[in-house]
This record gives sequence, C-alpha cells and structure tokens, in this order.
Amino acid sequence: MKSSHNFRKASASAVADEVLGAAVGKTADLLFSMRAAAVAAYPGFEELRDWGRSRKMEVSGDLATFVRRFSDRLEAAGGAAHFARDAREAVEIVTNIARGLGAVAAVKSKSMTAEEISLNEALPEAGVTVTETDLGEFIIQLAGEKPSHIVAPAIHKDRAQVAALFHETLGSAPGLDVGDLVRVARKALRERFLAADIGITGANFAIAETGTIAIVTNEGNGRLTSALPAVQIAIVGIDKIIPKLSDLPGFLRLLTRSATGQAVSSYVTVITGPRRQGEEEGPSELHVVLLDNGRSPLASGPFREMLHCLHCGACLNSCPVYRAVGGHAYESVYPGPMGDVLSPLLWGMDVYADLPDACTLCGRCAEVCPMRIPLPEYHRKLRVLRAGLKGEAAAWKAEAPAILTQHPLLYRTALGIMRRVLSLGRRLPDGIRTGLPGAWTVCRELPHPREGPDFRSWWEKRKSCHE
Amino acid sequence: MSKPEIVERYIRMAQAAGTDVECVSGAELPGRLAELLGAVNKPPEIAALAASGWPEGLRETVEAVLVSSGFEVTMPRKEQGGYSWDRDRLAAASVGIVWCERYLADTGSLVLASGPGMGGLATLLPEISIVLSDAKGCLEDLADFFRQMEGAPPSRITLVTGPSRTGDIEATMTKGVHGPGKVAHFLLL
Amino acid sequence: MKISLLLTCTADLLYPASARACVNVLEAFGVEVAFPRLQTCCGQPWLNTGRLAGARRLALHFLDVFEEAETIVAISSSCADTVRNHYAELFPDSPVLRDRFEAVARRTYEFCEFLHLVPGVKEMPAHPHPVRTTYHSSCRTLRGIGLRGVAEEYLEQMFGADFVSLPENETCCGFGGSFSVKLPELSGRLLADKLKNVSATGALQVASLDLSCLTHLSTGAERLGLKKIRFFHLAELMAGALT
Repeated sequence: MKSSHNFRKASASAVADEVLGAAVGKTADLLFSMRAAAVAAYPGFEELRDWGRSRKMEVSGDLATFVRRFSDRLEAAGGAAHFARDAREAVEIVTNIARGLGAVAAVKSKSMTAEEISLNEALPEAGVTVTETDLGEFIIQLAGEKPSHIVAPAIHKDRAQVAALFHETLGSAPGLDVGDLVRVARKALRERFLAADIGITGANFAIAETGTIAIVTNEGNGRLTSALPAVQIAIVGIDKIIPKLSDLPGFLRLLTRSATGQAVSSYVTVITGPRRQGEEEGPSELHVVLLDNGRSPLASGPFREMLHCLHCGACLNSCPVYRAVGGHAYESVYPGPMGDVLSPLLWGMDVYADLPDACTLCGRCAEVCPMRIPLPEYHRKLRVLRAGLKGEAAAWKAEAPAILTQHPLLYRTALGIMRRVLSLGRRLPDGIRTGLPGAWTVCRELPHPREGPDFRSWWEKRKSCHE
Repeated sequence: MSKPEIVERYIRMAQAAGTDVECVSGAELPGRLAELLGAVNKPPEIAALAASGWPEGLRETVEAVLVSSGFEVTMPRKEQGGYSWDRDRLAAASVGIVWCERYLADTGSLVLASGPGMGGLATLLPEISIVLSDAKGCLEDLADFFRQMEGAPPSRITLVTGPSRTGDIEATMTKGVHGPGKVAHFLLL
Repeated sequence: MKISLLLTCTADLLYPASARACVNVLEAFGVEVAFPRLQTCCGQPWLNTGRLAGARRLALHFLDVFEEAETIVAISSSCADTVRNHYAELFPDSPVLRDRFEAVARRTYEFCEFLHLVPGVKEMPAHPHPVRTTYHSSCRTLRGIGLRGVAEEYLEQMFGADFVSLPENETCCGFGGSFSVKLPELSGRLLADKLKNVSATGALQVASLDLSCLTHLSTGAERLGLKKIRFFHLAELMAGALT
C-alpha cells in the first residue's frame, strides 16, 4: 500500500516550478474558456445537466441491475463480459486473455480506468509490450511519467520539453515545432497500430440497454485501437453505465462541451459486440472488463453522485489549486476536485488524508460540473469523516474553542486580548510566528486591527449619546 | 426528405469542424474528384475504396476516376469468410473513398455504420478522406439517427466530425495526428 | 425597516471601521440598525474543518441571539453564506431545528445584497475623492450569496471611469479559511496571482464584501511590498460617498 502522501510538500514544490505553472495554467485556462463559450452557445445546457443527472441517478440507484443488464446484452451481441472486484482481479483478467492469445504487442488508447489498475506496469510481465497511442499519453510514456490531467495528460509539458524528449527517445531532429512533432508521433505510432495483437481501450459510456460501449477521441486513436487489432479489451468502470442508447446523444453533448468545448469530438465510436459475419473492420473478440474497485459501496453512501462523474476534466480546469500545481502533486490517477474526493474514497482516507484540504471551497467546480456533483460539499463531508477518525481527544481539542466562543463574555475577552496582541504589529517577537501564525506568515504579514475604537465600544458610546 | 435548411446547417457545422463540403451534381462529380486527386502529388499512389454501400454504378465511376488520375485501387476483398483488406496496401494508401448514407446537421458529423465491405478504415488510415453522400441523407442529429435505426445497432457506428486532431501539446490544435488531416465531403444533388 | 447587524468576528477583531461604515450607510438609507451584543462567531472555522460539534454549538448560539430578529444583515459574505446555506444541514435529524434555521436563513442578507434588494438602493452618489478603484468579488459573494454585478454598479456610480474591473474576477484569491494555513505556499501563490491582477489595473484601492479575503489580500500585499494599494469594505467607500 502507498504511504500517506504530503500534499503541502508536493504542492509547495509544484508552485515553485514556473514552467509547470505556466504550462498547466495556459492549457487549463484555454479549456476553461472553450467550455464556457460552448456552453453559452448551447441554450439548453442547464436543462441538459439536470437531465443527465437524473439519468445517472437512475443508474446509481440500482447499479447492480444495470451492470447485469449491460453484461447480458454485451454477451448477446457476441462480446465477453468480465467482472473485476478490484485492480488485481482486473489485471489478472487482462493478462490471462493476453497469455491465452500468445500476444506480444498491445496498443492502448487513453484510459484513466486502465491507469487506475496500473495495467501498463503489469502487461510487460505477461510478455506484452504496451504502447500508449493518445499523443499526450505517448509523451508521458516516453518520459516515464504519469498523466497529470484526466483529459490532457501531458498538460504539464511545454513544446520545448516535448521536442527534446522526441529527440532523445525517437531520434527526431531537435527543436521541432508542434506540427512536426505530431508527424513524428504519427509515423512511430502507425507502425505499432499495424503490428498490435491487442487493442486496449477504456470507454466513455457503457449502454446497458444494448451492451454498447462508446469511445470518444479527437485523434482517432480510440477508433484505430478498437478497429485494427484482432482482439479488443475495454476496461470500463461500472460508473460509466448509462441506461439507453437514446441517452447517448445527450451525454455526448454534455461530455464534449465540458471537456474541450467542442460540440462533438472528431471521432465517436459506438461499438456493439465484435465484428460480425462478413465485416472487415473491428476485432473478432471483444472483452469488456467491468471494474468495481470501490465503486459499488459509493452507491449507497453519502458520496453517491461521484458515480455520476463523466471524467470530463472541467472541474480540474476550473480549480485554482489544480491550475497552480498540476496533476502530479496529487499523487493519484485522479487529480483536481473530482480526485480530491475520489482518491480517499477509493483508496482510503489514511492514504489521501490531506486531499480534502486541497480546496478553497471556492465553488467553481460545482458551477462547471456537467453532472452537478456537489464537489465542494463533498470536500466538506470528507473533512467531517476525517475528523471523526481522529478520536475523542482530538475532537475535544477542536470543540473546546467553540465552547469558549459560544460564551459572549469569554469570546469578547479572548478577542480583546488578540486585538491587543495583534496591535503590536512589528513589535511582536519572532517567536510568536510558529503554529498557526507561522503558517499565516509564510506568505503574509500578521493582520493588524484597523485604527479607531473597536466596534462594540463605539456602538455603546454612540447609543449613550443618542439616549 | 432533408430540408434545405438542415443541409445548410450541416455544411456550416461541418466546415466549422474542418470538413470541406461541396455540393455537386452526378455529372460534375468525376471532374471535381479528379481535380481533388490531382492535388495529391507523386503518383502512383494507392487509393483505398469501400467495396459496398454504393448506389448503383457509383463505385465504378469513382474507380475509373481514380485509375485515370494515376491511382492504384485497393478494396476489401470478398473471400469465403467475408470481406477483408489487404493490410499492407490499406496502410500504404494516401486517399480513402467511401459512401456515407447519413450525416448530421446538429454537429456536422458523418455517420458511418459498419457492414460487410463498407470500408470504414478507408476513412481513418489514409491522410486524405473523401466521403460521398446523397444530399438527401441529412438528419437533424444523432437522436434522429437512433430513432430511424431499425432493430439492434450495427457492430460499430462511427461519427466523424472533421479531421483527426490533437491539442495535447500546449493545447495547440494540430490536424492529422492518427487519422486524416483532410476530410472532403461531396453531397450529390 | 429594522435590521439586526451580524458583525462577524473578523470585523469584531480587525475591521471596526468597516462595521461603523455599514451602520452609517444603512442608516443613511433609512434603515434602523440594532446590534445584538451577545453575538460571537458564526462557526465557520469549525464547519469548514469538519468539526461539526463545534459548528453546531455556534449555530445554536446564533439562533439564540438572532431568531427574534426581523431581518439580519451580515457584514461579510462568507458569514452570510454560512447562515443561509449551511446551518440547517448541520441538523439533519431534527426537522424542528432545520425549520427554524431555514426560517432564519430566509431573513439573512449580505450587506450589499440587502441594500440592493430591500431598501432597493439604485443610486450611489459620486465619491468626493475619485481614486482608481477595483473590486474583488469573493467566491462566497458570487457563488454562495449569488450576488453578481451589484457592487460593481455601485462602484461605477461612485467612481465613474476610475472604477476598473479586475481581470479573472471569478477566480479565488486563495484564502479559503483553513486552506490559508494548511497550504500556505499554495495560498501564497494564488494570492500573488490575484495581487498581480490588482496591480495590472493600476488601482489604488480594492473594495470587497468579504472581510476574510480582505485580510488575506491586505496582509499579502504588505508582504509583497505593495504599499500604495489600500483595501476597503465596500461600505467604507459608500460611507465616503454619502458624506
């Protein structure tokens, strides 16, 4: 198990990295404003959000039934459904399929769910080399890093860094511009596509009614990965289920506008089973691994709506914290507001105890979430949950000042002392700047009360004058 | 069946997404196609052509234009198990041409439904994708398409909206990353 | 029209002049102001750190002090937001308390919102000392209270062309309550970004309706050596225009 991580330390070093900050800020701002423009250009968007939420409520209200329906219909269409309770089981299913085929090469289109189960680390052990085909993921894979955004995985790199990376790893000329870099990647990846035995994808939606999966990409790598290799394995979180095929158009509208501000992405591939008799396109075997990994317990708990998340990334782009630190500081597959909530829920509060604090409660994420997930409220609720885990002594220590504050006289006395102390300003000894004042003065001076009498004295005096 | 205003909307949306749309009569098509193909230099090139789906005689017309423009043509071959591409020739093709039955005004998308010999990969692997449709094939949106669909969905429905693109490096939009950098759509009047 | 003033502990401790200005402005528009002396803090520090026992204590104390009040006006947005949007949910198991808190919530306003909605103040006079001024619309004002554009309109009336809007005005300044001390480096980065935008406007004074943001911004500006910029509650500028 991963040791508990330290978001303060990680974020402090991230804010000190200027290339990172500029690269993340630039792309997140662009995605944010493209989303805003696309939403403004679509008059029914608010109603569509309500509709989407209600469709997802239907699924999260009866998740097991929908999972069963999806897998039944998938099998009826000739696909194979596999259930994985956790990451280990999912990896085992995939590696068993690969071993059974004697596969040696897989291509993969971007899947955060596959990241979640660390599939890329496990496949080489089964003798399969994996190539990431989404350009951003490919860059990350060449650099030996992890994605830092759920939609734009290489958001933390600028073009000069990518040019240097391609020069080192692919032998391209140094200092290429973006267009040339894309051509270099196209050539390198095309060969891998044609040689692959297995295509590994995620899915943006899994449609219960028909056993269909839908994959949305701009590059076309999702389409290639699902069309060229003889076998396709889709890793699909059970939260991706929507009820009906007729729901897909509405969800696509919500997803693409929220993710990249597009009316639709370049390619939407809607797959119902493997290739059929006589067809020349698509895999002859289609496996769908339905991953639970901590999801089903969410359906009956206070964080149910996290199951509605479309993984569009809009909350990341809107988040002041994410924009300042990028994804790596979170040390989780899922960064930003949705990650602050999901990571402790899926992998434990002990591991991600500090992520609920990576939030100013500014509320912008809730404004942009297409599913209206109450992300700020969920951050608060996680803080409550965490406080509850700290035991009696800590609870008492936190409550004691509230008891004091509740008593007007004690409160006023304490405030009076604080006012007098703070009035000393620069004459205060440095020794006071530890603990809370120490943290405050990392980037600020201690506050000093404004000139003039305190309000209560002024009020009393004024009242006696009036009388 | 398609009202002129929804076709107009399709054209506007598709062009905004980067698809070149042109309305041509059956008589104009060979000439326009030849012009477009003439811009692809260094023949002999290979063109990937869908085997099925075409209206009567159109595939032969297109094939003739390709040959006279100096292209070798590769198509899904029909064998006993069904259709299959010659992978090497498909991968080497610089142009792909298919027939597309339905397209959507709402988003400017082509709807490619799978079926034997429909040649969907010809719209994906080559640098240039040429798609022909009946001007009357325009639908309002995807919901409309699903409503008209009879029975279970085909094994794959692909919506294509403009060229392949990426914004993964500094959010700089770049065309033609894995699929075509150019998509030309002819609407036959 | 009579209101009870929710002073807020921040004003109580640090901003007496802002509170005085609120009283003066309200009275100038014919509002009678009462000040319930037994009030303390709304409990936000407990609420936002998940210490609900403490938050409940202070919510109940608030109810004791303010339940009889006809109308409540809070000097700082985040406190108004707490009363309005968070108290009732602290008592999920008591429908009676929930109802009482919801009733109080409906009578609670943020200062500027109150002026706009209740006396319906449409016009502020021109300020006698026009100085280039900008406005920090805090997250809680925008997304908690739902007040957009009102303060800006008043400022425009007072300062005319000297009022300049702040770029990226909907972005958080990085205060965030416990966030400011739990992640001070990050908080400092967001603060520096906000102050960079302030500097870019050339403004010499910044108005806001949230005193916590103002504390964070002013002490941050002091650290960064931005000595010329001054920070005010909107009421202070209004009071200046009204005299």
